[in-house]
Formats: sequence, C-alpha cells, structure tokens
Amino acid sequence: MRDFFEVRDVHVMRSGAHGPLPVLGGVDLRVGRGELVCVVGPSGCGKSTLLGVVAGLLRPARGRVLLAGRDVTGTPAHTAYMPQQDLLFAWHTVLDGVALGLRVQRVGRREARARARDVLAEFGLEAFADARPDELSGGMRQRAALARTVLQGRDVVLLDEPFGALDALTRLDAQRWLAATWRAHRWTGLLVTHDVGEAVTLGDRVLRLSGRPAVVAQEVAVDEPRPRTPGVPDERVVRTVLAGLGVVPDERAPDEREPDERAPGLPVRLP
Amino acid sequence: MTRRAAERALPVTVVLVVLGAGWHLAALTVANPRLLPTPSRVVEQAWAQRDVLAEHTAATLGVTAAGFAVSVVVAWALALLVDLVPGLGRGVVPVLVASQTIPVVALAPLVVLWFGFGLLPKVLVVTLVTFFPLVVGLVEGLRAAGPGATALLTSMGASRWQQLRWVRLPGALPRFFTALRIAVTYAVVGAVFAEYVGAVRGLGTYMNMQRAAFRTDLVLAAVALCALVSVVLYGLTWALERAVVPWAHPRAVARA
Repeated sequence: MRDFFEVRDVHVMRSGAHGPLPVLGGVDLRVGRGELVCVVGPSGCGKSTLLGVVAGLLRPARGRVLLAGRDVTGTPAHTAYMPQQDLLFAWHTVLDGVALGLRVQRVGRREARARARDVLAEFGLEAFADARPDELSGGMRQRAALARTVLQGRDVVLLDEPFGALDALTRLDAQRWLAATWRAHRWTGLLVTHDVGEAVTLGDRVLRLSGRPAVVAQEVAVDEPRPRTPGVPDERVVRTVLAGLGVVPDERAPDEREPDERAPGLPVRLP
Repeated sequence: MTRRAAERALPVTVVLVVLGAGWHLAALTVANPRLLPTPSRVVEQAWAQRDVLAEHTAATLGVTAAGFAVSVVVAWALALLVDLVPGLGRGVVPVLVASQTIPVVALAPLVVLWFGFGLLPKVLVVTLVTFFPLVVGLVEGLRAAGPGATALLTSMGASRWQQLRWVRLPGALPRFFTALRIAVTYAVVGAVFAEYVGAVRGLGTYMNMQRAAFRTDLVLAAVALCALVSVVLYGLTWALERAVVPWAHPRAVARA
C-alpha cells in the first residue's frame, strides 16, 4: 500500500515548571491510502498531542507532516479532526452541527444542509436532524460528531478517543458501526485510543507509543479478516500490545520482541 | 398552561398579601399618614395623580431605555475589543472593576454638574451603573465555548471571524442574557437616582418633590411604580432570552 501520509521524526516540547519538557521524542509513522492506523499508549504519553500535530493545530519543534508528498506541517484544514469531546454545540440543531465544517468552507447554507442530511441518513440519524444535541444518546452524539468530521471531505480523518465517553456495550456497537462505515468509504485515518481491544478491532495496524518522550515503540499488523467481531479482538495481537505496555506478562521469546528501551512501567515477566 | 401560570403566581401573591397586611397594620398603629400611609391610601392617591405619575414614569422609562441601549452597545464593543486584542483585557478589566467601586451617590451629582439637566447626564449614569455586569458577562461568555471548540474550528480552517460567528458569539449569549437581566434592574435604579439629583421630570424628581411636601403616600406610589417598571423590564429581557436562545433552556424545547 502506497504511503499516503507520513509523520516524520516529530518532536514536540511542552513548557513545564522546570523548563521545556519533551512530549514527543521523534515520532515516525506512515499511513497508506484507505488504511486505518490505531495508536495506543500509556495515558498522558502524548497521543492527543500527536493528533494535534497531524491536524495542524500544533507546530512541532522538529519534524514534518507530509500529505501525499506535500509538507503540511503546522497548517490546519488538510485533515478532518474529531476531538475527544463531541463538541456538538447546543445552539445548532444536529443538522446544522453536522454541516458546520462545510459552512466554514463557505459552502452555502442550503447545499451544506442537503449534504449534511445525506450523511445523517447514512448514519441512521435522519430522524434527529432537527433535534438539539442534548436530545441524543451518547452513541448518537458520537455518530453525529463523526458525520460532521467526514462531511468535511478531507483526505485524512483523525479520531481522538472517539468512543472514550461511551459505556462498554454502546462502545462495542459503535465500533461495529464504525468498522462497517469505514470499509464502505475506504477513508484514510489515524485513530487514537487507550483501549487496546478497540485498536485491534478497528485498525489495519496498531502502533504503540512509549512513555514520554513518546516514540513509536511497537508496530503490529492486524491480519484478522473483516468483518471482525467487536469485543473479541484478535487475542494474539492484543497480548502482544498489552505485553508491550507492560500490563500482561510477555510470553514471546526475546528475539521476537520489539526493541523498546523506553517501555513504560515495570514489565511483568514470568519467572 | 393557565393552571400552571396560576400555580406559579400563587406564592408571590401570598407573599405580597402578607406584606401588604403587615404594612396596613403598622400604618394603623402609627396612625399618621404623613409618616406611614396605609397601602389603600397610597393606591387611592396614586390613582388620583395618575396623569402626573404616568408622565413621570414615561420620562424615567425613556432615560432607562436610552441609557440601557447605550450601555448594551458600549458593552458589546468593549467585550469584542477585549476579546480580539490579546492583553487588552488585562489592561481594561481592572479599570472597569475600579470604576464600579466609585459610589454613584458621589458621581451622579458631578455628572449633572458637568453635563447639565438634559438627557445626557442621566443616560451616562444609567450606562455607568449597568455596563459593568454586561461587559463581564460578555467577556466570560465569549470564552465559554472553551479551547476544545477553538481547536475544532481551527482544524476546520476557520478564520477568527468564523470562529466568532459560529461558536463564540452564540456561546456567549446565555451569559449575556443573564447579565442583561441583572443590569436592567440596575438601570431603573440608576435612572431614578440621576433624576433625584437633578431633573425636571421623572420618578426620581417626583419622589424628591413629594418628599419635600411630606406626601409620603405619593413617594411610596412612585417607589411602587419603579418596582413595577423594573419587574416589567426584567420580564421583557427574560422573554427576549427565551426567544433568542431557546436552546439554553433545554426543557423549553424538549420534545416527546
């Protein structure tokens, strides 16, 4: 698969109490067209920061973001970004909220609404077009937020913990739905999550970030054919990633392990 | 709906009746209408003076409306300026806070001294006492959408103006209307006080004249009219809020 977008050696510093703190310490990743790459990592490792860099919201201290060979480092509006909170604004109806990205792109109200209506219909929310966000359930709000994201028509979709706020069962349902929709559209994207099972269910590949300063510590391809069953992800892949995170014993032989000098926490090893 | 309105009106009616009864008893005990007239006497005399009272009330309403309108315009301009120019807020807001510690009692006579007995000094006093809650409400309201909203809109490629139009301005409206309701009650007090200090017409002037003539009943009638005007204006801003930002009151738009 040809690389479609690429993050090259991205370093990000944050100002701390005792001078600048490195958050990202040289992240490299590549995403092919139509691929969904999931990024997992210990909490606070800089997953969201990485998405902020890709979305052009943050300019990295070093490194570049390339989209189809073009340098787009630090410039927004090349990607469609879905933040952790759904940010459906109370003053918009669901329809107008979904159309927001198009309105920002100066698409006329009538056309933006028509296109938003089409996406809502596809996402099973057409009955709620004129509802206010607080009349939607958590799962529906996430779908509406995703509808707003993909309607922007950008080449890359960035999802930051899209289902983090949902309860366990709703989350599985949302994953099943996202996987099917994603397959139908062949979007290209990067999804950040703290849920390894979710990453393995949804992703073509799973990248694990190390603790701060974060680098890509591990990359695992998920070969399991689709459609996959949410809630019962490929156990081998989950184990591998969890072992890398240091939360389950590593059962692999030492030569199978990824070189990761900055693994967070204390790796639990069988005696 | 009418039944609910009646249920809502009941508590306030009870409170008013109890207060009125207490007043009546006190007035009967005092037995000196110049000191404390009974409520019925106040109503009676107010009715007899209704034309004069109406004229003064209209004058006060005019001052209140003009001053409040200026205040709203100034508050929006200042809040948008503070919002658009980084660092300006840190310079301007402390001065605004300090301006609020100046007692109107001290300032109003000076304003009349400087600007005469026309409309201008009264409008200025009303503006001075009302624009502070409006500016604070607006400045905070414009930030209410939060950094997440800013990040989202920036990622969409929105300009500053677009962010203001789509997110920050609508997000500021609930706080603006809360501030508006607070400020409008100050506005009437401000207008009456400015008139009290020096004016030809208005409820403030009227109170001053009647006090000098020991017509306590008519002073109290004017006080009651001030209260009535405040309550009506408060009700109007409340209705305006419901009309402009129905989404800020989810129960009002909730559907089956």
